[in-house]
Amino acid sequence: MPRTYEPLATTTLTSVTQNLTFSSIPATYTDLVLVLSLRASTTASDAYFRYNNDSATNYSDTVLRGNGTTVSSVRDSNALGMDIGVTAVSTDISPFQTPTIINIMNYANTTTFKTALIRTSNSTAMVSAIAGLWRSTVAINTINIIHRGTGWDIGSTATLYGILKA
Amino acid sequence: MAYTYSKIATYNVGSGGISSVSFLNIPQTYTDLIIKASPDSTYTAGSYGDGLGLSYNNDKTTTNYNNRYFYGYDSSSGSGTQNANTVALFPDDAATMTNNVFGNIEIYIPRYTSNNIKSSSIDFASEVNSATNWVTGFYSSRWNNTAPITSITLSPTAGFVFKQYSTFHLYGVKAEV
Repeated sequence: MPRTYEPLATTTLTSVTQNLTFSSIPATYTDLVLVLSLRASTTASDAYFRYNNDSATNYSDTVLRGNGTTVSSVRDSNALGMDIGVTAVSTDISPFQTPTIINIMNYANTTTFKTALIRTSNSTAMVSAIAGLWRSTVAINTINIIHRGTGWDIGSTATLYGILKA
Repeated sequence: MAYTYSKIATYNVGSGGISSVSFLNIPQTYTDLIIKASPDSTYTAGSYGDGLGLSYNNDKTTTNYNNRYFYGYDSSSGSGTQNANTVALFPDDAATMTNNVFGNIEIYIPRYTSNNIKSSSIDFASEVNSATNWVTGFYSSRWNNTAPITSITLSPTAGFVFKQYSTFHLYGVKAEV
């Protein structure tokens, strides 16, 4: 019986890092799952993720979220990356990180644009369910998780899994 | 070679039901834990469903837990916070509920052996063919404790039981390459 859910790479930050990158992702899996436990090194949680170091406005996302009082939906079109929601920040209780789980379907195909489902659970600020899109037919071989401030804090972790259909 | 995503334990509720389900002596050899639950309860006062209690290491002090969530049902939606260890809703025996419907709950607990405060991500959905009952929700739950998680207890409202045919599965995920 083959393994169908395999860890491809994992990292625990030992220094503040702005761009957390997985590169040389093999094209031999069907889907990818990225599990993040993040904490920003500053009070800014603004972050997004990109593929293949593409920094053009080829991304969009739709965000459904609850902040503890209201539910709202927002979207970003022609964006520089896909929103990952609100992560833990430096002023939160420590050592506290927020889980983000990203499912990337059919990532290696060269025919369709690439869709992702993102869940970020932050018990101090916001709970988010997000759909993201990269308007490219290129196979995904690199993922960048980018903090738009000074970076992700020491101790933040990230693991990339590959899923095989059989 | 060991599997990366492995079942650690499973519990199928038998005749007569049970007041809680506990996973004890959880091995500390995985990176993350995932619980997949399909419960129903005998609670009768919850017209929107029963609340799933989740406690770690037998810590049932509700003020040690913080939740934030949003949900949608019928044509309404909302968001809230709790100092409680209730993390999801699922079908029960309220008069407005349809019989023989079980909930769908997934709980993802990353880095459960770390010395971090433990955060989890919970998704749930119930469809009971009623215009007034719960459909789906998203929770974030935090246990304000840095101890590694060695046991997990799931429970319905006190004084009631999970009904027969409720199922609970605990999986471990390894991140090492």
